[in-house]
Amino acid sequence: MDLSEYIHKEHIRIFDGTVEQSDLLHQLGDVLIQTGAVTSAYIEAVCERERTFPTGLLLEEINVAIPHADPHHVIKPAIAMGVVKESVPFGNMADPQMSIPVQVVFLLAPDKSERQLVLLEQVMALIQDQGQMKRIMEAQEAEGVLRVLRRKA
Amino acid sequence: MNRKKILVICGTGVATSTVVMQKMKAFLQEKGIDAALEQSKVSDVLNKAEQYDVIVSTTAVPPSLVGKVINAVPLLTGIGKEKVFEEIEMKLKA
Repeated sequence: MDLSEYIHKEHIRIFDGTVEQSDLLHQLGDVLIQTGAVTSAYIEAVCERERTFPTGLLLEEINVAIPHADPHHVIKPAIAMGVVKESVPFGNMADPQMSIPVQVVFLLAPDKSERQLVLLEQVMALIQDQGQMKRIMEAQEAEGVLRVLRRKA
Repeated sequence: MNRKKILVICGTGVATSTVVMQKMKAFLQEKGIDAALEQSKVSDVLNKAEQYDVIVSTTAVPPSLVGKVINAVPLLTGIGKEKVFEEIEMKLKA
């Protein structure tokens, strides 16, 4: 089992320039709504939670964010992934006053708390491998990102 | 010796704290440390912080708790986790 079970081609958005955080969250949210993974209430909950408890994670080179909310409003588990070439600012999870430039965003939509654990652990395993993360940043289209995810299996 | 009490917290007490709980369980087992592990969210902990010997948190905590809390984000991301485990072990043995 690898992340490609939850991240399909249509769940991946690549932003060549920069993008506002709320714009990004709504675009990724729309992907999850359109694919029937969540209702719009989930995305509102995610944005609300991000303001209070930001999810940016400072890593070695490529920083990530893992926006998520309680599993209510999730219909089926999925992850929408945003690759932002020019980075987007997120609050740091450990220090919300601090803003960090994030290049890969995983919008998690787990349908129950056990799934939340599985999704998070898989995402954590991926982001610790900065070589794989660099390959994700180099991908030109969604298919290229998927290839990296499958290799990680 | 009293059994030490550890509290693991995150913003909502569901996601990241669960991952940290797993890491803490594995760590305590590996070190052969017998301690009680509990999970909660940051807003629940304000009134009962003094009940715990160690609090590890993935999120920022109110100023009143700052000195007491260990930042657990490294346990999540794996970067710098050895230092965090060392700090936890020191507090448990204190």
